[in-house]
Amino acid sequence: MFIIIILLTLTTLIPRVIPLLLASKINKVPKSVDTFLLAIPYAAIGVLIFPNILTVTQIWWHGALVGIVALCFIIYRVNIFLVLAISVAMIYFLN
Amino acid sequence: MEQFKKALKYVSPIMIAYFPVSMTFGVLSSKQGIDFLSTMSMSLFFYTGAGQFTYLNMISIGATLFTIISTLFLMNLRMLVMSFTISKQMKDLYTGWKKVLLLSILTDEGYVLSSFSKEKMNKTNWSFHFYISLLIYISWAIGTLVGAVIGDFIPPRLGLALNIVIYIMFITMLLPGIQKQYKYIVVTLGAMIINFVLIHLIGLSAGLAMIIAIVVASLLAIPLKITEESEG
Repeated sequence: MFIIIILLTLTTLIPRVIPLLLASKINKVPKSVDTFLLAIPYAAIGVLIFPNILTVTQIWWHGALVGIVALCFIIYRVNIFLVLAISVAMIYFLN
Repeated sequence: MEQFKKALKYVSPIMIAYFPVSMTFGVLSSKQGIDFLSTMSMSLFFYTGAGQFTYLNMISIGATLFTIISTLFLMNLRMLVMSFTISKQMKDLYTGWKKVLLLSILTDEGYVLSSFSKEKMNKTNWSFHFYISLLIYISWAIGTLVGAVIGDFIPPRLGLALNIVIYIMFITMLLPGIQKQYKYIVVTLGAMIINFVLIHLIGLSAGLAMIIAIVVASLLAIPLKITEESEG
């Protein structure tokens, strides 16, 4: 676990601190590189949501249903604790 | 002290908004059997909201350490962009260690608050910008602590239902960005589809499929950006 945490820490610390060394050498990063890097988390989270959300319970549509319901609540800016409580309750009783 | 109060007032909405998030991380992490010290270390050293949830999710689906580390490294590359912008703003205003200190606890939120604050960086207000990031960091740590303690008291059946929480958190993290820039919908859905095709139609291993899907889908954002601008 100790080694894993060190590796994880490096994955954030390197991109956080390296630009300091580059800032004096590079004037401007091409816009396309910027766009690409900023889009990565969206792709990564997308990959993690689907299809894994379908395996929250033994029955695939449980996760899908609760995910969609939660999405609607989040769009309407319902408090996040409330959304979590409703989602967990739904899975609890569906299962 | 003056700078501290100013920073506190400025970041308190973010601190309040992210408290439930870090608390949720603490609960989930302890439910997954990660010990208290490791849970806290993740929030204190690894310290990246989306990444910490991603880590929990990836170990629960049995991803290999290589897949986990490469995915997280890819995700965190966005910090290059933010850190670079802040580095440019700091120019030669501060000594080296002050710059490193500020950048090492930089987050997406801290970046937004610092670079859009009316208080432009100058020789005397390093502490204001440092406190912005520090306060977010402290709030994240306390939330994790509270969550990890609560997590130990949760009964097993409820614990099982908590599996859905991570996906709700993921959706929560995606939405603000997507609502600001619709091209991210293409990236997100594109990644899901590419991942699905690679695994089920081409038969790649889940880890490799994931990494390819992330890179290819993120590249989709580049042409989208250009159309957006030429139309606007």
